[in-house]
Amino acid sequence: MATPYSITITMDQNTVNKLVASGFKLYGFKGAKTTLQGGAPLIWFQTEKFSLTTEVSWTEQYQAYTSLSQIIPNGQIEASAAYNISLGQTLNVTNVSGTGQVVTGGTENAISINNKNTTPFTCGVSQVNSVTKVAKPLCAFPLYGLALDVLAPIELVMLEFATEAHNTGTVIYQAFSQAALIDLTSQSQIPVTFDINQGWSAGGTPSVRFFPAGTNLAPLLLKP
Amino acid sequence: MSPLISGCAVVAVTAAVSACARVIIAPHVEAQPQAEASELRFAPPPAAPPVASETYHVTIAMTADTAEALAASGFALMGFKAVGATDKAGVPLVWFRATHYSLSTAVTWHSRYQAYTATHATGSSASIDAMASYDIASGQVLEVQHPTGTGVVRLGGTPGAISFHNQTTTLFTCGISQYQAGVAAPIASFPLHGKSLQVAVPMERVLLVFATVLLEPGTPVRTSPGLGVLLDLGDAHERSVTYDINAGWRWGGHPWAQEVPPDADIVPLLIVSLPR
Repeated sequence: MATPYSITITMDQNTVNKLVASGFKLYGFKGAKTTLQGGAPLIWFQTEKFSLTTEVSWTEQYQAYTSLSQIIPNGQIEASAAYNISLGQTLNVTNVSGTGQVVTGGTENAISINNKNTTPFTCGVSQVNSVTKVAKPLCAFPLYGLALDVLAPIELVMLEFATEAHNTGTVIYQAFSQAALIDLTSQSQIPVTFDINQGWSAGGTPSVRFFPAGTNLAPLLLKP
Repeated sequence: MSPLISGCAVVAVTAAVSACARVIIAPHVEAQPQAEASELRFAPPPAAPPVASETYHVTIAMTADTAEALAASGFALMGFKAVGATDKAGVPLVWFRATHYSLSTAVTWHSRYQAYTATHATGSSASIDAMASYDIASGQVLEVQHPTGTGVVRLGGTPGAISFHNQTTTLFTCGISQYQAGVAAPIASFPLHGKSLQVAVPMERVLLVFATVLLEPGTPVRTSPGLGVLLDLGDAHERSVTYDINAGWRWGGHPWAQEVPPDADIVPLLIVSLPR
């Protein structure tokens, strides 16, 4: 059974009410480990469903995708072909439409996407909801012709409250607002708090770091 | 959180054992302050005062052979708690799950409650569960004022019951959480439709089950996951039962308990139908 991960966000009623009154949404981003350059973080989720206690949870369940979308700021990446995949497997992209087959083999503890065509694509990894099977892309990288992209999803999540209106899958390079970067690799459940004026806090745990609005997200989320 | 453990192999099982509580909608239930007076647009009814609570105990005795056999097989003691309701869509939740038990195991709780509302984000690749909980007592009402499920607790509502008045058009899940050792855990859930009123009556009736199936606290359960005993505490505040891994539950044949076979429908036992 895949490890369940969760972040519990606690807020007081004043904060919740003011977030709603101002039209804030909770945005989530999720990291990946890779040596690839030129990648972009994507909005993993955005929701208006939050309250005094809000739990964000997921398990290690992924898809590899190819896309014909361009990686441009505020552009939306839509997977045109997506396949369930596990760590240590490879998606061989065999058709110019971006379709292919998942095969065993490739870099251990990573997801490989091997383009057998000379057609370039955008590619990346999607996080799958183990209950609903809804899959949303986490990151986007260029997949050049005859190239091999290797990336490993990591349990690194960034949360922000923001009033911007963007869909999931949107390329975002800069933090909308103060952001909490939460590293769950050594601790699968982490509580954090948010206050409308004080921002994020996590009781001083080194697993949670904070970054101001405007911070460049790619180096924080897409790391070698 | 570890259960309270005293000498002589006496173990107090508390809902705090379920610190990893997985609620159907959201897991962690904590006391929250009530809404600020400055948010009120009209002269409010008096805010709900604190209510003195009563303490209840169930003691489970078992032999060393049974305790060791239970532990060897990975059994957990699961608790459920009843509420009275008129809504037939209610469902019991796992109140606590404890792997700490011994020759004498005491389950203790207090007549203190929270009312919660919960919502779940759909269409997301992460599971997002939002919950708002408030300390509440019988004869009080949680007025849900915002689409986040937040609101304020007031006096009023059905006497003897905990009421939920949804003043929004948002559909929520709602229910009662039972306090145990300072931690509240949900015991039942009901739909709370927009602009509607829901009523639940706390009852001092518990179902205790030894089972190996992994059901986290907060999980909705309709059939008994193992052999259980249903106990009505009434005015007694204390009950004593024995459990043997082969012979099952014993309570001296008193009318305040009944055996609940594995797979039995527990919904009517725990969501007790009240006259409409």
